[in-house]
Amino acid sequence: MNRYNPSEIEKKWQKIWEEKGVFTTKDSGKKKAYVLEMFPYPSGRIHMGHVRNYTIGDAIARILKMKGFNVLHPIGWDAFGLPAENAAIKEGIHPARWTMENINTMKKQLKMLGFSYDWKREIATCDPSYYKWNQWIFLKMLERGIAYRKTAPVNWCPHDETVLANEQVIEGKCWRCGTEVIQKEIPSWFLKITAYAERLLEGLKLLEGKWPQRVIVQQRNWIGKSEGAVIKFPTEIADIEVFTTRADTVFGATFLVLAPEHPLTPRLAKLGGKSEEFKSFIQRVSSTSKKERTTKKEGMFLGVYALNPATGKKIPIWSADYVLYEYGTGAIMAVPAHDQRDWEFANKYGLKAIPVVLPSNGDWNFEKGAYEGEGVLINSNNFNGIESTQARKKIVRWLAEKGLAEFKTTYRLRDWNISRQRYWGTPIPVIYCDSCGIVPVPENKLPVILPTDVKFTGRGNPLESSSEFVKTLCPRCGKTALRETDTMDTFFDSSWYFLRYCDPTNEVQPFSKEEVSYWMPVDIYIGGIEHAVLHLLYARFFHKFLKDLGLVEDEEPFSSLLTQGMVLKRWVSIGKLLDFLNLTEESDIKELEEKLLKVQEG
Amino acid sequence: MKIRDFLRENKLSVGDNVSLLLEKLSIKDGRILNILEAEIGEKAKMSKSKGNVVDPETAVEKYGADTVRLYILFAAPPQQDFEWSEEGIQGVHRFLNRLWNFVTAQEEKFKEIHYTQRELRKVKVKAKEFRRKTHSILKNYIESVEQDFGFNTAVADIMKLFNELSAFIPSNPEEKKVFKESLDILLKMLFPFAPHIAEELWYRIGHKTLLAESGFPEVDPEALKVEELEIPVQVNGKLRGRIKIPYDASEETAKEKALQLERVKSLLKEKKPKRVIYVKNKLINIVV
Repeated sequence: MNRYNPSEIEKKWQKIWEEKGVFTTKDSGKKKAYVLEMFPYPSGRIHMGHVRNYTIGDAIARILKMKGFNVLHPIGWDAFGLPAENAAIKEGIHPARWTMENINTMKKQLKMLGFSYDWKREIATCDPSYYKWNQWIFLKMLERGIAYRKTAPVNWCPHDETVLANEQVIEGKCWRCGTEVIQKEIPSWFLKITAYAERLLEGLKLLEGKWPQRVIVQQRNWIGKSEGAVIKFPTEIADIEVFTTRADTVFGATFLVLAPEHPLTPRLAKLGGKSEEFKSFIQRVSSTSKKERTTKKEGMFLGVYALNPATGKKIPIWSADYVLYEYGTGAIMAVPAHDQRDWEFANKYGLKAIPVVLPSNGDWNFEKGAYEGEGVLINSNNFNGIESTQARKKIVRWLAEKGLAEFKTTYRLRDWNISRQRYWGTPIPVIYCDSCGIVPVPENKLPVILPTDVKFTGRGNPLESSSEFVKTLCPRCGKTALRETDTMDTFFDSSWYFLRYCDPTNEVQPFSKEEVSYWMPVDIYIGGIEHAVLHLLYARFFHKFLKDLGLVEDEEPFSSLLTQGMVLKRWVSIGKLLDFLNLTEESDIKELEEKLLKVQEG
Repeated sequence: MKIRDFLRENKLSVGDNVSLLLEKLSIKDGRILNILEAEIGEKAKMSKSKGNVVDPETAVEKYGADTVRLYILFAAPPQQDFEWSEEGIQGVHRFLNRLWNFVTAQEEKFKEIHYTQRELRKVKVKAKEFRRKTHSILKNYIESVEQDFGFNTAVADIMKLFNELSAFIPSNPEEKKVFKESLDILLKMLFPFAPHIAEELWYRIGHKTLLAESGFPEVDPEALKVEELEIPVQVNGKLRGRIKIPYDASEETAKEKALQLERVKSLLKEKKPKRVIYVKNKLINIVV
């Protein structure tokens, strides 16, 4: 009898399984099962969170294989991203080398754990044979108007010196480095995920009971559908449009508030003779974070008035920081009696409030705060006595007849800014020509390869330093032109990698329809809850776009989702120890040593 | 020297893990850290900044991949957070060691046992009861695995089956067949979680095909049926009738059934039995 020697038998069987190709997916008439774990970023070494994720996935894959399913259980690398570039700046290693070394280490570690991956299907998103198809998908999006370029205020991380998507701003801070995010105007490439808002919402119904409820709720809230109306408030120079879900309170709208960034704001300020004041106001606002803006509620009267379309009375127009230009129409009708933020603002600046809805029990102290609930209308002319939910529709219809309102549905979801001023990502396949404008790189010229002769200084976009890359010829007119130097947000890469696993070596297409229609959808997807609205929303969006191209058949890519918990471990900080021993940093180190020995003696 | 200066000198701050301080103070006794963690430790996600990271490669070198994997699955349902503990992983490692020793100690004997489904279905009494236990544990295991990925309870089922297996001493060919079947089932149950040791033991007990390709264990509904047997009922040592009871029934069950016999009722006449002598699977004697 010999002793249990794990390392010996583990190596032995890993070798045998590999040599016999036990976990290599083969063509077979059997029923398929696609088991997928979120692929790792090659950060250096595998951590326990990875091990937990992949152990769960491996148990599921092995069970399904034993049950006779034809199992697809692949692995790969989400290999583009900022840490590689930071390593280049700090340690002078080229991001490509840093990434490949990490992949080798982590691959060895995964093999040591004996996961049943089909290594023949391994992919790395930084491989030109992969990112070529990122570029191809981008061109298809460009063709269909789903990708577009615009100059817009963007989330800017001053530390990483790059743009961030809304989904990557967590409580006003960069999701990666935690730096306070600021707003900056930059021409960028956007993906029109908002065109899919309704389908993304509809699709969630198919996932009920198969995805954790928590994730479904987070996505639904992120998409944030609200049904309401756009109401026009006429002024001397233009109608101001506001979006509201509470048209029943329009008789109580006692002033308007425009976002400082609203194009009409400076014009109105000028008209009111307040240009100078407005200039200093907008300067103050642009240096505050979004989060601060919604709590401070700083504002200024623009010196002009609009007509309330319901009452026909003049109401003052203000601008304030708590109204954000990106949401709704960038302007609101303020109803202090029925909206707490408006109430607080009106209170601060001494603006009047008119109650127009009373709760069914008839009682509310408007001195103490806004009544935001439903009820019965008062102070609303012909609509008095009507239930607020009914009144909403009636008032909009009445105003619509006069051309002053229309029903409208809006979403909280914004288009996805994919431009990153970074080197280690997929080049956006676009050329700027002085004569032809924006020209897409022709498909037969893909991939646009990331150059290697770049300088990593830690400031700005390294790609701009490669003249060989930047200078090119216009594919249309042949004159000299410049390449786009923005690269894609790496969430672009991970939005369709599960499709590439189905056909990982295809050289003529991102994947063949036949392979994908056999393997997809992913039967069980395992990963962390932190991707609830980032990756999991983007992947669903891509899948719907690819369905519209006719490349995939299913509406949803992931039939079921398992979000695994975290691995915790106890720890004690030095500070906590000092508190525990009734010591401070001023105490003597000898005293600490003595007390520590007593801890041991119990 | 003040603690403040000591920390500065060693490039430490009050937010660092106390283990770094112990290192600098040359306190090598790991027990101090264990005591501190147990008494004033906070649970937190493993992170470099807190210094509470367990490196997977180190853990694999120490215990093997199978132990690490089995521990992770056993510690909590997949959806929940769990706290890594050295005692926890050591417990799982001991289990795999016991399994290893149990099987390898008698691998030659296991090699010589062969069975067919037909033979298994015909077994009686002790063998049948053991087979029932095996299959009812397997049934629980399958339910755990299929309902919401309950791998933690599935691992507990494997341990339970191992306890049954290691307490069973087969003494005839029928018992040997169900013994081997039970081990085969256990290794199949273990394979998705700790595949290497399962495959190695499978090979050592004489299987020619890979466990990876040997299919998922199935519950035999026949095996779940309870074996019943007839035992004589005596009153004061004299035979008064017979009762049917499940194999290995408890004294409670046997007594209840015996007292329901008409012959026994008329003999007892409302009196309470003084004493009951019960020999499992053999007889019951009621003394008045």
